[in-house]
Amino acid sequence: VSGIRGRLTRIWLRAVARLVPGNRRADWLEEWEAELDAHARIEAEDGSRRIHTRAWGALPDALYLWTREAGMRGWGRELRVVVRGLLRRPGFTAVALITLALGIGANTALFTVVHAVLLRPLPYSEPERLVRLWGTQSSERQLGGTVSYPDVHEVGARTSAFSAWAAFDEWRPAVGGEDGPPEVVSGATVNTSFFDVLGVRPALGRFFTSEEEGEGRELRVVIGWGLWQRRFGGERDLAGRTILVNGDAVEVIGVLPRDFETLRLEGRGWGAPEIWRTVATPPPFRSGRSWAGIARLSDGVTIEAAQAQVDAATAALEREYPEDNFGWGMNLVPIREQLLGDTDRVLALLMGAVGLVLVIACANVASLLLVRAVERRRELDIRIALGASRARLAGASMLEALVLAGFGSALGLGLAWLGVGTLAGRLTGILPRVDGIRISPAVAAFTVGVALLTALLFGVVPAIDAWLRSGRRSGSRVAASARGGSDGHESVRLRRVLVAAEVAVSVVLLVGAGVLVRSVEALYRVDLGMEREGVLTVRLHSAAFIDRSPEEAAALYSDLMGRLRALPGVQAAGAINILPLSGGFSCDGVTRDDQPPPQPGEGRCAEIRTMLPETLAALGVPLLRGRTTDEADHRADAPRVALISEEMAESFWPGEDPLGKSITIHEASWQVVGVVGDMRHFGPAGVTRPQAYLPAHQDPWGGVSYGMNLLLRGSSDPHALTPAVRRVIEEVEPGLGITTVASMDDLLGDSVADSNFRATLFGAFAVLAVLLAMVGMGGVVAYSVRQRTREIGVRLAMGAAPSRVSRMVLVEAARLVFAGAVVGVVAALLASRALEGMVFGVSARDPWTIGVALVLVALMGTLVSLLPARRAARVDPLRALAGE
Amino acid sequence: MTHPTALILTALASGYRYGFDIMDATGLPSGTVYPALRRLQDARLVSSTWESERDAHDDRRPRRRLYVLTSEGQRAVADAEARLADARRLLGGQLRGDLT
Repeated sequence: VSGIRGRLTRIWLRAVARLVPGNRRADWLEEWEAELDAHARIEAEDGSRRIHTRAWGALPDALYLWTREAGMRGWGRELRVVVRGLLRRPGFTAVALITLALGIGANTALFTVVHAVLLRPLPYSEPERLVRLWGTQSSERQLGGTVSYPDVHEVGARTSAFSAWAAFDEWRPAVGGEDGPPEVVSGATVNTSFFDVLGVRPALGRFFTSEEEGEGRELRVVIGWGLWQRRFGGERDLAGRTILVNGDAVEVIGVLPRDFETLRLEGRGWGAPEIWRTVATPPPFRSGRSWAGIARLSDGVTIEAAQAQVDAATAALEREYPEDNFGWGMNLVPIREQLLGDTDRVLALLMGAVGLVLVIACANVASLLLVRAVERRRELDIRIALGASRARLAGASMLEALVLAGFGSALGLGLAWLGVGTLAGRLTGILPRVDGIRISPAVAAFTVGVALLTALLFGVVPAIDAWLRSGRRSGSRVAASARGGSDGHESVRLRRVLVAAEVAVSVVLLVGAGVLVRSVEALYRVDLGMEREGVLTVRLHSAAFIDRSPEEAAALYSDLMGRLRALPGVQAAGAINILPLSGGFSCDGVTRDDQPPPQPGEGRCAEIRTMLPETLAALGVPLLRGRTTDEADHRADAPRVALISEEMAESFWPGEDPLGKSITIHEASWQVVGVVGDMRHFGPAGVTRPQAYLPAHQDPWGGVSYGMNLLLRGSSDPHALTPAVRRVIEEVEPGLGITTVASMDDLLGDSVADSNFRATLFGAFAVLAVLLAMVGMGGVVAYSVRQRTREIGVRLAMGAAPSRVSRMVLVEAARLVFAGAVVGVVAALLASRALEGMVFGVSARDPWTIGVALVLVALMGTLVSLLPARRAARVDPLRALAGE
Repeated sequence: MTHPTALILTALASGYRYGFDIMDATGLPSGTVYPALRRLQDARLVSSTWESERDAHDDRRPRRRLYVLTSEGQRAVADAEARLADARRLLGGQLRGDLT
């Protein structure tokens, strides 16, 4: 090749040749020059000019040879070396892998929950535009309540804030019964617009049309995916067929998709609806506030703007209907907030806790790797002397970390897979959306991310160690390490720091777990105003009462209660409309008859419960003044009497005696005959409010005809009564279905389930953290004893008592624990803010809990140091010195 | 086997022996052909030698590197052709004429 082009090509080739490994460079250059030369001749003959483009190809060729030689092939060899090295030390490898698997597994398992509950999109179209409508009373603005049916529709129609809206209410029908007993399921009565508001499509069939609502329409239902699969075997032709609902043949028009998440009426012990029907008779009463509202914001309308419009509409309603609407407003709550509540805070807290467990696991593995690095210094020094680059050695160290993290996360993913099923089962009813908990690609990606992060966390320390070491002048080092010099001191110092940090993190987690456990204890210790032990509750199926007159229902209950009271072991039997510990707020207006009617907006309300005789005795609510109700009061024709709670007495008759006074509730006048203790209807952490108890048969608003919940006081184990109770109910009325049977203890357990869940999971993470930290600490102390064998030998040879030597080891361990504990307590105090709002009856900085955490860590620290301390005392001075 | 690799093997089987001749025969750029030849050498499907000084001298040019299929390489080409023939037979019912 001649000329300028030829010279440039040659310069190019020589430059590129620098990339080619030295042993091949001459050959490579000769080949390319010969080819280009041969081609230049052809070009000279045919006039083509492709030689430039051909010469460019030398670069990819040289790069390929470079990466193959210096890069990938070298790293492949390094990888084999790493894996072989790990296999040669099964003890080290197993401890490192188990530690990582536990840390990564716990993180992955919890992340499946976070992903299913928080990160998975809500299965509605544009869910950010969906709002729940909550009723508010101006006297107690913060309390969310249900709304009245006419209010939902008038607010919807009077504003332009919503593009669609619907009201829904609880329905609890019995489904099936053709073959075998029917199943009582949770359902909802909805407006036909309900599914349009949510923006879902049916998996099968169709949803309601607007013609299918209102009086005289034939009952048709839509059912959920779960019910379809469970009772109807997922038959594809179900839409259009009839099924038995409360004994009647009813057409199923559609099935909801599998991922549909139903909306429920919170706090009524109502399960997730599985069957929907339309409103047959729109309730005419404005004051009947048992409905829930849902709406879709109009395009471009913010929730604040919508709230302002709704406020104006409810103010107008208040003026138009002062009787029914005084003080009532409506609060818009985004659907996401409604469904998830404070779940994001709880899960963030738990994710933080489990993240700390992983930090401890990483510190442990880093510590193990440092020990190995010290043991491998000689190998490292020889490689440095042979010319290995810094990057190479630091990279090799990182590679080892990556391999460990890779296998550790694979094991961790396996552990998470095993644990997730159990976790999901236990979370039902505690967290929303738990049915989506599973190992998904997103979860696997998270695990990979965590694995890389952990590799970085625990691999970076030894990598830096290797980097720094290879930067130093190496000649003398090879000589020093060839003599078996002990330059592991700085690494031991680093490991002590790591262990102290682990102890500190453990203290933080132990304090957090301790505070959460103590709040659960505190919840159980709260005086509920009743004696919950020994009480059995039975929810009866309300559909059985639909066709009964109040008189028939009263007769049925009279018969039933008489037989229940006669059962052996039953000390008292009553019934109440809303079970304690499982109800929502239902404040009904109360006025004193001896005072003028209140101005609109100034009325007061109380929690009204209707009951049968012996109810308060069955619950163990104490009578403070006056008398309780007896059989004679519980007749429809008897004078109306009421029992009130102490709080109601003080709030309605401050400084006066309420006995004998009259009040108006449910549009009827009642005479107060007794004052009873305050009961915590809304659980141990809930508020108490003025309460009134009315004989159910005297209540003009429904009485017993809506069904009651039975309360039986028995011996120590209330569940022992269950078979006999079931038999009696079956004898009295075969069609009277039982929905649920639970002891009062069960109901309390349900009401504190979320606190319990937090405490249990946090506690499990704390235990895991302490165990890992102690494994790390034991390792460091044992290694330090091994390293100081010679020194210990000298001490013993000089006449030191063995007990003194073991004390020396224990003191060293104690210093680590002390340092970690001091940092840990400070960190725990700083971190206590994260627990605010989640603790009950105990301070997040509870000194007693901190003390217990410290004692626990100190005890564990001593325990893991005892074995190395004993070994130190048994060092044979002769051997230790001869080992030199 | 990638499409360029198959092309290069076929070119070698057809008697093209110099790197640049293979580019001419296959139409592939040098940045593809050379790394592929290196890989095929690593896989022992192709071997390379310098041509004799004498041949180069006769042509009055520097010696060039020669690439030839090893016996393993020849088997690989034969296998690939046999598989292709099987595929043709299988698809022949519907695609007769399209592939031949």
